[in-house]
Amino acid sequence: MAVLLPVTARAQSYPRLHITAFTQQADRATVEPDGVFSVTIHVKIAQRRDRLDELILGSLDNCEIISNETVRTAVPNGTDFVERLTLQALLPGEATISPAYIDADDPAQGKPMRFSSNAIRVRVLGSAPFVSAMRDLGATARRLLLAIAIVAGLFAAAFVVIVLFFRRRRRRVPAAVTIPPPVAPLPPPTQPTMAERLGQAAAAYRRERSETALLAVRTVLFGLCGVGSGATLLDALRELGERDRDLRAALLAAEAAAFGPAPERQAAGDRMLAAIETRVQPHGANEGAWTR
Amino acid sequence: MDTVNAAGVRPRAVADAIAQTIVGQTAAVEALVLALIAGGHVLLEGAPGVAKTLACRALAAAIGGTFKRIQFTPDLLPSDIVGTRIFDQRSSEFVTVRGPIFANIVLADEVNRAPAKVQSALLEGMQERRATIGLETHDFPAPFAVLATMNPLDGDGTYALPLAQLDRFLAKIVVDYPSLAEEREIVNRYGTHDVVLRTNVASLDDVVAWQRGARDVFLDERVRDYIVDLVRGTRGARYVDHGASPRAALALASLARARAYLDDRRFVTPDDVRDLAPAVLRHRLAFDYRLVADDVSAESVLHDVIAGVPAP
Repeated sequence: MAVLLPVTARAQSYPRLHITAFTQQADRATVEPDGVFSVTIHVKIAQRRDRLDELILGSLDNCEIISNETVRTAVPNGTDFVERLTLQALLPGEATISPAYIDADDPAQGKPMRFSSNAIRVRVLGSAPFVSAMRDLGATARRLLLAIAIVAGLFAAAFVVIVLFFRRRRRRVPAAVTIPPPVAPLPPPTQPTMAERLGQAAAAYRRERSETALLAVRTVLFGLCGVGSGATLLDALRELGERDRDLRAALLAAEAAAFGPAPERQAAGDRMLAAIETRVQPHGANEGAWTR
Repeated sequence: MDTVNAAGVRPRAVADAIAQTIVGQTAAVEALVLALIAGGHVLLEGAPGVAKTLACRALAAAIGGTFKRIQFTPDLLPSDIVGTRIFDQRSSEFVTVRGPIFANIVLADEVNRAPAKVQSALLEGMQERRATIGLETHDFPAPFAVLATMNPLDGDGTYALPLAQLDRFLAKIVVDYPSLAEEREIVNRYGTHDVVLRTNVASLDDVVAWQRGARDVFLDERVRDYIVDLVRGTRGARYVDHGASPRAALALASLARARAYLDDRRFVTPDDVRDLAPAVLRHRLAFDYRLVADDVSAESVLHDVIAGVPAP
């Protein structure tokens, strides 16, 4: 086991370290695959130091670090640093840890030097029975599943082909279908004219003097002027202009019936109906009236 | 439509009398009469020389009331408006000298040129309809209306009226330039002759009776709801930072009733509300910065709000 192999380091500013011991040691020579072992790096310097940041660990091959621990101990003639690595071996063969090293000014030679420890080799035994058995079992299971999937796919494809074949054959057989007698198309629904709508709304209001019925009449009157809901009397009168005095009178009466004081609404409603009746006669006699 | 019992002088006669003096400005003249009937105060905004002052003088003359004009300036004091107590050497007593606010029609010319304490004195009087001078409280004569003018073109040296004070004006009327034909008529009529005011078309008692009568005009629930919807529609509208207050709804209902009364109607129609909404709402809205950033006019925002509320 090599100890303290100083070689010349590259010239740069290094700490002045008087290294008296530098070793690397494994706790066992052989280990099972996936087995855990430890490596202890011991550095002794003839100085008082709290840390040894200059220590560079060697590279690992076929093993990996699980944990590490540093222990510093002050001794009478210097400081001991012990770095303990816990490692796990990987595959059968050999696990190696290359030498750790420290670059420092060597006071003995008065120049920068690289101090290296020894390397470590640990034999990893042949494949462990349990692990290899599990690996073999996994591989067998994978192959089995693949085979089952292929067979199932073949069966599914065959099933689809058979189903398609039979369905196509069934379509080829003409089925006896009873054809229903032709139905005469319904006549298109007839839209009532505005005059008819006004007659209906006025009749409904005459039967029941409700607010709903009144507003229905007012809406139709507004519609005759060409304005929709949300418009006001002024909008309707503007659209109407001077062209229909009866409609104008009906609009004004409808406004009073809708928004006037309660005792006066009946009379206003009567005036509105009277204005409407001068133009809207029952039984289609209103041909041409308010047919906008 | 149903008409109000037309006994006595009708307010339309006053509007017609003013219209004989003022060429054009029909909407502004009608708004002044409506505010008089509703018992409110009016803010008139328009360029100089568009007959704002003349319209106020014509209104006062037509109802036979006293008219006082106060030119608001930066050095005006509250006592210049309300009045003060001075020592009379002959009687060796302090006597009360009433200010120009004690009149039926008070024209506060360029109201935004006086500092806040003077504006407050005026607006407090508008609200309370009385003023305290020394230890004595004096009621204003009835009817009492303040017609304040503002010039929108010249903003230098002005003190903007806060929203809380603007809210006390029943309506804000924008007095626009006359049309070409109207301007020609103005030159023809007043180019060589002095302005003649028609006086005493109605009496002060008539005006008080109109104010009482307008309060009896019927307001249907659906029209009331339309008023409330319009006012509420200003809150949260695009570009509007602060919408109109419930006082605006009261003002709109009051002005709509006055409009129905002026038209000899017993009830308010949705048209009354919709037509008067801009005058009642335009000075009660505060707009946010996007209005300027997007180069949008306040009137168009108000128009959109009104158009967005369907009439009953």
